[in-house]
Amino acid sequence: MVRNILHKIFRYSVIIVLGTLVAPISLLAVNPPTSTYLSTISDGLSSPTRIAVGPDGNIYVTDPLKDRVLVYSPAGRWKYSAENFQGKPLSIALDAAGNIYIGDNRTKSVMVFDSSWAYLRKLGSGNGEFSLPGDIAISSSTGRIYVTDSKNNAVKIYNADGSLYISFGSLGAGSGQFEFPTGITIDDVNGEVWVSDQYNNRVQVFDLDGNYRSAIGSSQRIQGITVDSLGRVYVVDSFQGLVYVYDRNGIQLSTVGSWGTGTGQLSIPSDAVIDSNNRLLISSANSSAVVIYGIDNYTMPVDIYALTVSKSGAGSGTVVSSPAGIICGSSCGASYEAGTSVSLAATAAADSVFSGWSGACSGTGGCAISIDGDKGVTATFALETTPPVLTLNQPQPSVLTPPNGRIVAVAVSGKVTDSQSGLKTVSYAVDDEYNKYDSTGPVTTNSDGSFTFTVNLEASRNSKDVDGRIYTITVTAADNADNTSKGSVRVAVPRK
Amino acid sequence: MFISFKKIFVTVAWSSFIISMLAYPVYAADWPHRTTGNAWWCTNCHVTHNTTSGQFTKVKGNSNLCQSCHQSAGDAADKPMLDVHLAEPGTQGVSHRWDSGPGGYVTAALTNTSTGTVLSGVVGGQAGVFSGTVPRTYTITINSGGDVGTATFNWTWQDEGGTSQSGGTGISTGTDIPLIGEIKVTFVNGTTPSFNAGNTWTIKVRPQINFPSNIELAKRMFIGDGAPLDITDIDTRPDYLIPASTYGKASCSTCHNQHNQSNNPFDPFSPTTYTAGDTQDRHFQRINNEQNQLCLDCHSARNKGNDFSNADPDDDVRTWSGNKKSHPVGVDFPSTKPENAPLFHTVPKEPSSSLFNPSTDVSGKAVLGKATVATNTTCVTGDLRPAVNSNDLVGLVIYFISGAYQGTGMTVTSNTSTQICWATGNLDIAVDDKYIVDKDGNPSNNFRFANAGTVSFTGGTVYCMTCHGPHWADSNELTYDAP
Repeated sequence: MVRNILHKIFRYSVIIVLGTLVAPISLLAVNPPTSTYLSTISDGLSSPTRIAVGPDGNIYVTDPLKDRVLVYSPAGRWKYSAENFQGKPLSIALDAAGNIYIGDNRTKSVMVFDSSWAYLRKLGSGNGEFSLPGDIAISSSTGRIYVTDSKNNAVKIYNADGSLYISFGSLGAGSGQFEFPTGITIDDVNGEVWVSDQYNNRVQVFDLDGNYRSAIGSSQRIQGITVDSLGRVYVVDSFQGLVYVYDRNGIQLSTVGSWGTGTGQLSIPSDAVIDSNNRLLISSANSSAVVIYGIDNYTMPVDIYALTVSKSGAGSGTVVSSPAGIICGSSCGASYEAGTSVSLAATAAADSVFSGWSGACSGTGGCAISIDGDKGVTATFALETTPPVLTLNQPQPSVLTPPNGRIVAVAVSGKVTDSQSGLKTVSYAVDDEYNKYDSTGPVTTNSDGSFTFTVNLEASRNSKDVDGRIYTITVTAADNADNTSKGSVRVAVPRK
Repeated sequence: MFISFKKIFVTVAWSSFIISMLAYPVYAADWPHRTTGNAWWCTNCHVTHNTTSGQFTKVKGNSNLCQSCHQSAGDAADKPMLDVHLAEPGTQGVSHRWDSGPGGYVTAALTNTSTGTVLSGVVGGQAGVFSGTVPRTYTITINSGGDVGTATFNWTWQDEGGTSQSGGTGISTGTDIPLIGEIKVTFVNGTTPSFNAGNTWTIKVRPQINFPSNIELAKRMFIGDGAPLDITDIDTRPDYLIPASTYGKASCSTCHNQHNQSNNPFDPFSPTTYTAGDTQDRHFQRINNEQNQLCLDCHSARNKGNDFSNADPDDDVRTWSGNKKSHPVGVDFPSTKPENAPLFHTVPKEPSSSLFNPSTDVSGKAVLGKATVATNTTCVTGDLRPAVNSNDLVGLVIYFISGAYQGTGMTVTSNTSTQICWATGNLDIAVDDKYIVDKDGNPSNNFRFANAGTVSFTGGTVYCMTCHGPHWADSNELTYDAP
């Protein structure tokens, strides 16, 4: 008797001590989240229902009324629409490998696709496995797939290979029973499964094997559910058009959004997920939108796009970007944040000429690109085949007389230009009919291409030279593409 | 032991009461608007104090309450009813609108930044005064921004097929501002400044729609975000007074009684008898509609006879010569072809017809079914309406009218009352895929007629649902106002 009393005293003392230690921990208050409306995705959406975020951050939204899944970048840019279902995709989840799980309300099945949307299998027995595959969640710790079978009042757990692991739940209001379970989420940190139990107006918590742990009260018509890193539970209320936020003990901390169709408002919201940027994505089926709120210290993802430069043509040259990133040449692609303005400059090689842009730019002038998607631009370089333009004036003097043998300075002038590759060399050559005063030499040009040079010629001829002595002065201009132009003038020592 | 007689009496009385309640449960709503579980309390949808909307619902917007279940992830996932379904005939949508009335409906431009709202109504209370024959669109554009009274607006109007007409410019925003065609607008402040310059709203109005005369319908016409109209003099029914400022819009519960399926449905496939709490598929109608009473209350202008002579301008039928009036409704399907009715089909070969050949024609009309089992075989399983016997349908064609195989036809090789099979070609049938077997091969028999019973349609009356479906109908295809 005494021993029993002492035993009880000891037992209760332990409980009190432990309770004293544990109670403050369990009562540790978690702050309500600070929610900030950020943006709305509406591009292509009709009745967005369930949302999933892939391992790459892309946002996947089911649109059952259009029988498709729409995929958006983390920043909300529409990427593509997956439509080849022959079904009515309702629920969705992605595993760590990027495999996509679609709950189809036409075939009453969950289809599994790889990240490229190649069909892999169906969960369990395939078609008819579910009455209404309301929501899907995947445990990152076990890899198992959890599906709420809403009209069967059950949660079914599948192994990663698609085989049924266990099923739990039945119609009722008791612990572990359901009446129209809708949303489901996994809290892998605490090893818990949270299930929206709609008509029982509560959220039930199970361990990863479906063993009942606890429940918290909720509002009616609850749908999607998610848990953040602080253990706060976000429950979507389709009826009241908002998201309730509870702590783990079921104390309501705050709400996010409000009923309506205005900016940031929700009309028949169906699901909510939190992405790695700490943003709460809420599907608003009746306003055809996904409404995004930032939670506490959220970050805003920015879309990164690729700019690729290609070169074509027989010529060669270099394209350089500002801001830096492309020197093409060697580096012909770079990534830029959405909204960046990138300028490209093309410089032709010595033997080439820049012919123009195609793709994201056109013309032959500058190329300025506003980055709002993946873009490509082609710079065309052609070989330069146009020779310099050379004109020569009449030499001064052009006639050497009398033929008295004196040496006369003859001025040769003209102009040479090359608008494409530019001048490389200008030279002259004197061809004396008597081969006595042959000479060559460079010609120096002024900035406008004009030039004047002087050659010394002898004013004499042979007495029998009936047509006089002829000096031929040839000017040769070569451009940087080695195209050449020649011109000649003559200086005569006449017979008289 | 002394036993109090009073205690015995009280115990017996309470026991009797409890037993009687168990034996004869009283439900607040009929199937399927209640479930087998215990969670369908009145407070799921209603609050008793501090309501933010009409009829004690918890959230503003009558339709919002319905849509919270009639959505793709809701309990009524197979009957979704979202705003994207709202029909703009010939353009988009698949459902009768639940946001419109005689004053039309207002759509704000997606690019609007104003927080204020625009309501449309009709002048003078009793509506239906816009007597045009084609739809009309009004466009409201804020001219200079500000709150109501400060902001000004311009407006234009355009009839379908017509050109845009100027209505007015620089008009002060306010209440009950008349536009042409007896339409009026009211501007409601939001957050200052409520209206921003350049923002636009369109008001789309269908012609000849009346404010309902039935009090059950009329008092469920809503204003703005969900408050019901304040119908006065309600006890003097039917001569109740509609408010002079009529901004009433129909909503789900205008036409549907979400609690009760007792009223006679339009659907000949619905159960003909009603048992409180249990009967399904009678469409929760607010009033009887087996003779289109519900439809014609608002659409009375469409209630035309078959006066082909056009002697009576109020009773002439729609022709393609430009009168753009109405196809005849409320007309008995004749037993013989009317001499002056070239548009009518020949008399269908129903069992009562002299043309009916029992050896070749199966009695009845079409058999409808909905798959109850998902299969990937050469059979579909689901109860048939009306019931058939084994092999009744052999040799006929089963057509799928919903799901992945919509439009697909297979020749029936065998059937029971719950299963129809064909020879080859597996189909990946999903639950709820609908199908039809047209028994007599006469398409005219596939229309629904009032007063025709559930099997034979001979001698029925042409009514709205003969040609129109109120929900999930196909109004996406362009329609043409010509043959």
